[in-house]
Amino acid sequence: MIGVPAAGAVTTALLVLAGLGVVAAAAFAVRRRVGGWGLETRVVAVAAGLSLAALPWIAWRFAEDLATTTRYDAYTRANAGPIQAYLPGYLADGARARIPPGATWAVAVGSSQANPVAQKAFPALVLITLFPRPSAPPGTASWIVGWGAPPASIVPVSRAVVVHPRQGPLPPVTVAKTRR
Amino acid sequence: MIRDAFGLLLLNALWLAAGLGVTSAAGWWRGRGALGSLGVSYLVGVAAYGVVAQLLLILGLSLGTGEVVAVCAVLAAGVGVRRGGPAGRLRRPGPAGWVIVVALAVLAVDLWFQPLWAYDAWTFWTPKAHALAALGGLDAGWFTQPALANRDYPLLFPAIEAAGFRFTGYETGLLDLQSLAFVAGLLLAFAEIVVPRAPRWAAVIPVLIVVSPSLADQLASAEADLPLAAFFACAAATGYLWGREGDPAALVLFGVLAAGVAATKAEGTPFVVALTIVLAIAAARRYRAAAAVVAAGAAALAAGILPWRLWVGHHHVPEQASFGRVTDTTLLHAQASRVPLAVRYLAERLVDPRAWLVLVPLLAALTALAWWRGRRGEGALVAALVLLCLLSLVLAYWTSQFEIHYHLATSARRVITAPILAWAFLVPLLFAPNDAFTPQRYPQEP
Repeated sequence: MIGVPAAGAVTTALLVLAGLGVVAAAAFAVRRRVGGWGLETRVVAVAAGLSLAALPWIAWRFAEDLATTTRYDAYTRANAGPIQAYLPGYLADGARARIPPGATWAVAVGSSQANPVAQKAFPALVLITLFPRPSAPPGTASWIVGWGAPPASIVPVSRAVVVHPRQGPLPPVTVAKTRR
Repeated sequence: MIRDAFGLLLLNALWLAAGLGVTSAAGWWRGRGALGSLGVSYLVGVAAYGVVAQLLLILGLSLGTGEVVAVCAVLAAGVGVRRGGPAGRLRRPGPAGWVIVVALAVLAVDLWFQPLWAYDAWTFWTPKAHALAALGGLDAGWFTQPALANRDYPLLFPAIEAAGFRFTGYETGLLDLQSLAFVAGLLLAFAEIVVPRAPRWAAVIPVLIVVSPSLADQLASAEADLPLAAFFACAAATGYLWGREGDPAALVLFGVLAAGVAATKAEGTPFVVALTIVLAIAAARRYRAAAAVVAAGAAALAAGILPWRLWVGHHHVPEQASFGRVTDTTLLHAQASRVPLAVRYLAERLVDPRAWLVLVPLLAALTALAWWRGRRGEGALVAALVLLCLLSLVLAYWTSQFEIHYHLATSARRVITAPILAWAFLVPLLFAPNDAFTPQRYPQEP
């Protein structure tokens, strides 16, 4: 679930208290039946009781998640994946405008101040942004998309163009046609 | 989105019809028994469709809307093949059943608002499905490109999502609800296979499954681990029934579901191997029964994964989990320090109450109780199945090309789902009285 935060100390304490209350109520309700239960049934009942103690916490998770997801706007809903990876969903849109349909591409990702998860996810963002253009090994790709590394660092290219400027810790996105 | 949801509902009805055809042809039910076989039939329908779809995609078909309907119609035609089977009925849900219905409704509301956000889902599962639908099938240029993650993963799950896109348009917001349908099918299958045979307390186990935080987390992630777990748990249960009752229908369904397991994810293949080995050992004294289960397991692997492996090899796509890697003694020695890390991490995830509450300790305690009650052979085999599956995961982490801490942190919580759910299906059956099973048509021993 995307919208569940870590519970604070007060919330945790309240959830634990509520859970103990649920277990106490359940134990009270079944107190007269326990005598007739076999060993397996008692073991399962203990497990069910312990799980009941988590019921308020589980309910709290759903409430927090719904409170978050029902507030999403259309952009966040459509780009939740890249956003979770610390990438704006529009970061590679400029590359799509420049790289013609049917062309192949490769990505050059260099070290930057961007989150490591973002650096790992950037090729996937380019993949879905440039769909259906397929990627290719740098040696055979006709275009290079650079992010934190100049396209010329992996193969000879013509003039590189910035298609998205630097944005906070995110380096600019550059695009260049390879020279053969 | 509401109109798209009706499209998804229609597709799931087609899969159910396909599954009813397969289960009827196998002799799993007759007459009104269809109503008591909806969960098993649904899972069998999805697995059969997925395996056939993978094969057709490899053969070059585009699997447009008409072809999806045609595949389901051909499978559903099995309804006309009446081979007998029990005329079971749909039971009214007890208190546990109603708790499950309420829990599924709450999950449905939550998933309705869930966007596509999980890393594996947006980086390769859903893009693969989108490509299958938008590019008119398995475009080799796109599916072998270097920027695509996990190119060697089999196609069942993307093929299922792609079929959904044929009926809903490119609506990623409904993928989580599709996952919920797999879970609903799984819980119904538990009610059909386990509850009628096991003691009354067994009805609590699906409740513990459906309220587990890990289930909600995985449902919201739209990844392939839940369908794999659903197929595997149901395959384990039908395979167990073959061993106890000798019903050929159970053996056929075991084969179909196991093929679905192998066609869903890379770890599906070792899971099917482990399950086949355990079932064969369980039937070892009945030579033909053991040979039949081995043949069914082999046929499942041949149908579920072999065509895809041939395609991957033909297109020179590097394989992450190859026989070469797991038998490379240099690699095994160099990465030996990963073994204790992986064992410890998997063990922690298994008993983490924030994931599965107390389900795994409960299953362990019940397995030990079954041993204590005299079901030693079966208890040992169930424990062996779980351990073999976990060992295959340890081997995967041991030989993985990824950084171990990252790999464990991003996948361990998900990949343990299949062995846990299979365990949850099998443990109550260990306590079933002998007269709960109806021995039928075992192959005659020479």
